[in-house]
Amino acid sequence: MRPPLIHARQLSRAFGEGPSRVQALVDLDLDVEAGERLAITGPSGAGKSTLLNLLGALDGGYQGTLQIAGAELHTLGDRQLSALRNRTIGFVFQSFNLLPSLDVAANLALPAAFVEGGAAAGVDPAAVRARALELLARVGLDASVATRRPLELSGGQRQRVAIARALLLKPALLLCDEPTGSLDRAHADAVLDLFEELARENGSALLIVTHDPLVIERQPRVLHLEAGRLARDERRQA
Amino acid sequence: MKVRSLASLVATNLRSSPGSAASAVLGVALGAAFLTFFIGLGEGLRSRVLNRILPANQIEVEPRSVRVFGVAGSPTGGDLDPARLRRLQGLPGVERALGKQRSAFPARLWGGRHLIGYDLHTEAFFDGIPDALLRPELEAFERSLDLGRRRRERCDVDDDCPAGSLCAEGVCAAVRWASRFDSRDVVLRCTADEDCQRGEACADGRCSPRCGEDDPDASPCRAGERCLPVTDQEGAPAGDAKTPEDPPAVCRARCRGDSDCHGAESCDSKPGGDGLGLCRAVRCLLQRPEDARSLERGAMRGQLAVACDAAGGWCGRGGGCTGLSYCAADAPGAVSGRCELPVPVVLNPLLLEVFNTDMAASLGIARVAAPEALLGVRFHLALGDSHFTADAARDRQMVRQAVVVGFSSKAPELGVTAPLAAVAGWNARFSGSAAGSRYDGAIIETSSNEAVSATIAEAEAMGLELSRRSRTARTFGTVVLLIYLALVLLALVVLAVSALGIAHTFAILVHERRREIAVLRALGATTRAIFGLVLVEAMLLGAAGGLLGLGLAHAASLAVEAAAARWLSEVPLLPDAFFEFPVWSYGLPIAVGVLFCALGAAWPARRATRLDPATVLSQP
Ligand SMILES: Nc1ncnc2c1ncn2[C@@H]1O[C@H](COP(=O)(O)OP(=O)(O)OP(=O)(O)O)[C@@H](O)[C@H]1O
Ligand SMILES: [Mg+2]
Repeated sequence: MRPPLIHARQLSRAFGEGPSRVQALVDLDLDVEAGERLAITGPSGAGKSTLLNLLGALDGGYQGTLQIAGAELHTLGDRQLSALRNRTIGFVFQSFNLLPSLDVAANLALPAAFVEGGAAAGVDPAAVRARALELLARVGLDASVATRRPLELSGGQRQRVAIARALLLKPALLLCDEPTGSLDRAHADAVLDLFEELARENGSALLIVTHDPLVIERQPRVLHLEAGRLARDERRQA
Repeated sequence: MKVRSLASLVATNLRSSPGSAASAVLGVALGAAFLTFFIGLGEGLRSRVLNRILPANQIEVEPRSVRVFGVAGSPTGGDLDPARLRRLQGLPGVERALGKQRSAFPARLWGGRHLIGYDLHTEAFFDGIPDALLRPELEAFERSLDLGRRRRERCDVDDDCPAGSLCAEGVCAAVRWASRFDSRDVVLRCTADEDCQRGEACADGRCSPRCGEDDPDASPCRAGERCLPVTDQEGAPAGDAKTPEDPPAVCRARCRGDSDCHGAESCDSKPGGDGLGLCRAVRCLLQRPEDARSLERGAMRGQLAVACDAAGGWCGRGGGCTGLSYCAADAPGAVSGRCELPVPVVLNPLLLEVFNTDMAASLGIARVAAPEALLGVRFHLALGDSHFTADAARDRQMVRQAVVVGFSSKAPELGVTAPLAAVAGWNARFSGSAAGSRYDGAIIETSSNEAVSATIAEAEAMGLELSRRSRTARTFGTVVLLIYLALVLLALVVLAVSALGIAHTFAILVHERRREIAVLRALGATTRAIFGLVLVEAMLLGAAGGLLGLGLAHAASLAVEAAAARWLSEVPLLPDAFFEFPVWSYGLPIAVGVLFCALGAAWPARRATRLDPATVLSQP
């Protein structure tokens, strides 16, 4: 039997020392299977972002067990963690986080630049370019956008570019921290539609941190965090 | 991480912060420019000033002498004779050791009438140096004048031709003066063995090395020379009943034709019977003494005609000799003599500078435009005569001609430098045959600069010491080297300071770009990739700065050269250029710029790898 994509037991994360110590996550147990879609919600400061950073292998300072695709993150070195972030995980942030000095095409292709082994690992420049253009069309952007700078785009367009970038190397796990937070309602819905569709096409698991009830409503599984604890793990028919 | 993606990222990063990049580059450029400038100046001074006076692997030693107030007295360490010269030659690390002689007889010289309008008279001091030591420099100087490529002009006499060339068969032809600084062109005439150096005999009117006395392996004869009994030289039948005391034999060069002999001799094929002949003085062109007197003009009228004793015919002041040769009497006022080639001499360029700056002004005479104007200029030597001591060695006096064949900083500043053979021969003539084989100094050439110190120690153990000239050159060399190193150190300090600037700039850049760096980490960049990204950016700036510095240094050196040429052209002894940039000096500033930028950026780059992406990305 294949291990679950995410396997966490008694996962805890604390910040600071002494009186200023903050317990951001407490004894969290979680299993996520490949292709699952989840919303993570909870009040501000509940630990949502903290959880997402742990799952995205960006933050290694946890206690307990955390396995992504069967590998315990504690045991991985910088190269293996980087490879994991590169090939297995795709991030979409609330503030898009595109590099302002690179044009859209270069931003899109950025993950391919960090693939260890390049062509040997099945990532050759021509294929990357083709996939970038295909994704650009797929997220509903004109090919002419490719040569423009992120700052010349609207918020919705920027988030579409960020989604396309996260999907470039077909990651098994898509992590989104309030991806629609800075978009208006109409744009938010369109982006979310796209997101869910692309995740399904790729067979990627999708974890969305959100406060938006409409976003929560669309997900088959919802995790409620409160004060660092998993208050509810709610599954329902889509 | 792929090189291309990395390069484009770095390039866009550089473009996105041009201000800080520019200030970082300028600092490095300044340091690299200092470094290159000082290296160019240091190398230029070392090779153009020092090496010209005395190359780094050459030293000059003399017998140690008592010094009173810095003035050398009599030698205390014994003579520098051929045996000791051979010992020097045999020292480990010594490539060759060549003896030098100074003139040990009074002499005066006069000439310059057709250069400045009247003759200058002065005492003359001679330095005899082995011609092999000067020839490369003389030839290089002559090549730089490019005499051969000049337009060939028609002429009747030498005076119609530009400086450095002579009239030959109706056209001006460049004379290869440098090749005339050759002891084989020096034929020392004699009437008896006492006129010659030790180990030589007077045969056929010329001093030649004795041979055939001891074992034939140690024969002093060179390639192309044969050991012949003196009687053979005179053309008398060989193999006759030998006189009881065995006539001495001497080395003589054999010739096939006149071209094997120098300008005042021809090939006489009589002796030997092997078809090869001996070079002999040519027959003089005039039939009668009246012909010689009739050729003389103006003030010279009334001078004696000279009977060319061995070869026959007559010559005089006005002519009677072929080619470059002139009519030389055996002694002042003597009737006997022959045609001879002028003695080739080399002058120190300082002499010309002093003449042009001080003498020309105080005497109110025209300056000599360029050194080549003096090439081929002849003057007269009265050997054994002096303005100060009357009647010195009157019976041995002779008047000879000399011709200027080049300039060399290795020649003593005050004096006339001639091939060793000439000075040694004259010393033997005036001070006894032993004086001809006693050296006043030796030039030692070592195989490497490192061998010099050991050689000096060995020479000192032999009772020799460095000459004043060599000591000065070595002291000067050390001083120049120290200043050079100090300036290079200064340039390195400037570079180190600019590296601190780079560190500061990149610390700010890394802080400004921390969010981008965190995003790259989230997308899968390893810490090594981040480190490389920052470092490569710094190294590119360093290379750009180094390149800019290289350009600045060369521009500055050109400006200095131009200023020197404009304002310092009349200062004596200045080299034609101050800067010399060895090949490695082109790569060095770039390499050093890259290195110092990499050093400066290493710490900020390390900080970039330490950034916690989760924290940075959580900040709004
Ligand atoms: N790097 C950090 N250092 C110290 N405390 C931190 C750090 N990151 C998070 N925290 C604390 O951990 C707790 C959880 O924070 P987290 O950002 O995960 O909340 P959140 O659920 O994402 O809130 P929001 O909805 O406002 O984004 C908070 O109390 C926060 O102050
Ligand atoms: Mg949050």
